[in-house]
Amino acid sequence: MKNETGESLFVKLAYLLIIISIIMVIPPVLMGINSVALKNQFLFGLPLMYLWYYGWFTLMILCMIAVVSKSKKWDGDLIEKRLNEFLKKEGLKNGKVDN
Amino acid sequence: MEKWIINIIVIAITLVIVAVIGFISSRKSKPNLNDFAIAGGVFGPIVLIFTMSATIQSAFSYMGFAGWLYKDGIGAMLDASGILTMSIIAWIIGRRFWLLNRRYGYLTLAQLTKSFYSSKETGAIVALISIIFTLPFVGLQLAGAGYLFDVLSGGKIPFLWGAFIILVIAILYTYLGGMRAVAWTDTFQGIFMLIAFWVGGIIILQNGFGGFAKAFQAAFKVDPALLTLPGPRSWLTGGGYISFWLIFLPGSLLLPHYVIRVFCARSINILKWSFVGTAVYLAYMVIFTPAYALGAHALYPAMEYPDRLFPILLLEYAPYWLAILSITGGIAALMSTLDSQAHGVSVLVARDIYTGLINKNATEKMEFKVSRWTVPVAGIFAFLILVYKPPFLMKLMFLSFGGIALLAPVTLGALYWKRSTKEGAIASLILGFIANAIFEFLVPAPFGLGSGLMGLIIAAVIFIIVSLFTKPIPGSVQTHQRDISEILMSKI
Repeated sequence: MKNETGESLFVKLAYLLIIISIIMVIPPVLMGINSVALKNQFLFGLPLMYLWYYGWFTLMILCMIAVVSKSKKWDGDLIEKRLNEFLKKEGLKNGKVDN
Repeated sequence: MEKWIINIIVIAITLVIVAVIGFISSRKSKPNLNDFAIAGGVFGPIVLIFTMSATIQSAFSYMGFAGWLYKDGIGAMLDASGILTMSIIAWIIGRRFWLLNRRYGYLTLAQLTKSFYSSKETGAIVALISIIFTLPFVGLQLAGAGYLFDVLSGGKIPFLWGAFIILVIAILYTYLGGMRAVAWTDTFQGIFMLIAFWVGGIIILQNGFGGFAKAFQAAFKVDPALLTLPGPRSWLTGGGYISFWLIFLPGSLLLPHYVIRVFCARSINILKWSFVGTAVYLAYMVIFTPAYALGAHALYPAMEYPDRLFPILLLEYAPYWLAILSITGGIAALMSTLDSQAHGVSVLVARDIYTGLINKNATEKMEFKVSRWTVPVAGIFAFLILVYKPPFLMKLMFLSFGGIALLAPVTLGALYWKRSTKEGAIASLILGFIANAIFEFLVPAPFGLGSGLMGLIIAAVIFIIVSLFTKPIPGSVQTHQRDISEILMSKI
């Protein structure tokens, strides 16, 4: 079968941003921003750490939405088409349990 | 009319609604394990989002999270961070679980690993670990229910009676309708809880502090350490933080009742959007909690039981009817986790213990009966745990997330690593469990790491070393991985 899962730059960037967002909310990066927050605890009237967490959470979710919508690896129709072809090839209709 | 009677009427109406939803959805059930366990894999995104969220949110999300923020400051937001990251990882490996269900019909992680490793022993250990680290938590949810009943009835309905009432209703609809009843009641409970949690939180912030930002400023005036790490008790150090976060990911992702939900999706497209929806729900459900939980230091400087903070704030600062509705939302939250846990255990017992070990020739009907009857048995067992608090099980609860996390090397090895062997899997599970217990109860873990993380590291190292020195079962592991890679067009 032809490889149909080459990803666009947009999707690759979104994947990268998800990884960066995760790294940003755990040590050691979190401890770095914490040392800034020890000196300036508020930004726009809200705690810097709170804004930091929710800023990255929001980016994480937006990138997740971007990947889910655009990634060919996550194209459900394509995956299920291949699953059905596979099951047909194996002579199975609804899968089989190996007990 | 006395206040406690009004409270009980509100709870009773909520419980009747839950029970009716459970009974109506159970009418569509079919008498086989596939339907009882995963509702035949027919759920759409809305039901799936709420039932997935309900397995993760629990009495802890409703009451414990605010208590933790109160004790350890803003660093306790690592709970929200862990939940969100877990949803992303679940999204990445979840499609493999789903495809394996459609290809081989697996219903549990134990069944999947048993087949991958061609090893009855591996499946049995995975099943036992899943059961013993889930069942005591049914008791924990019951304790939350008992407490809320006690508070709302002004002590007129004792703790154990409150827990018993909740248990009977949850067990009854789970017994009758299996996953269909559990998921539809989760949907009602999830919507109810979200509204109750948000509206209650906004009212507390407005009436108790004068606004969202002002609650944080009130916390700062009391103790600036609340707004930074390691927090007022200096508990959230770098090592402790990363330990909790790393254990939380596999510890919640591999919970039996969470894995089962992946199989319930009607299609891959529904599954992927459900993971997104679950991430959004879980991350933003608690968006107001840090403000009032930290600001509460200005109102109650030294709370003995900070887990009770949310109901106490509601009763003090929200209109009475809203407070009662919001607290009832808490009962909905823990009930939705309780039924999921009891249901997850029942499927494990039927598929992995009964069919896997006791009666290999069990028919679908027999499996269904065993699973169904395990629900009340699990409920009785959980209630006995609540009443007698056996010391052995209480100790097991300390190992909970670490215990489930031990399944990670074996699961990931089965999904991604061709050199995985059954000897590696068995050694990893047994020695990882022993290491977890040693670092929890006998020797402090080094570098400020948690016992769960130490157990996981040792389990992973043992899994790799033993697998490299032993031979994989010819065909078994590779065949499974090749099938999935072919369908996904993936190199890994």
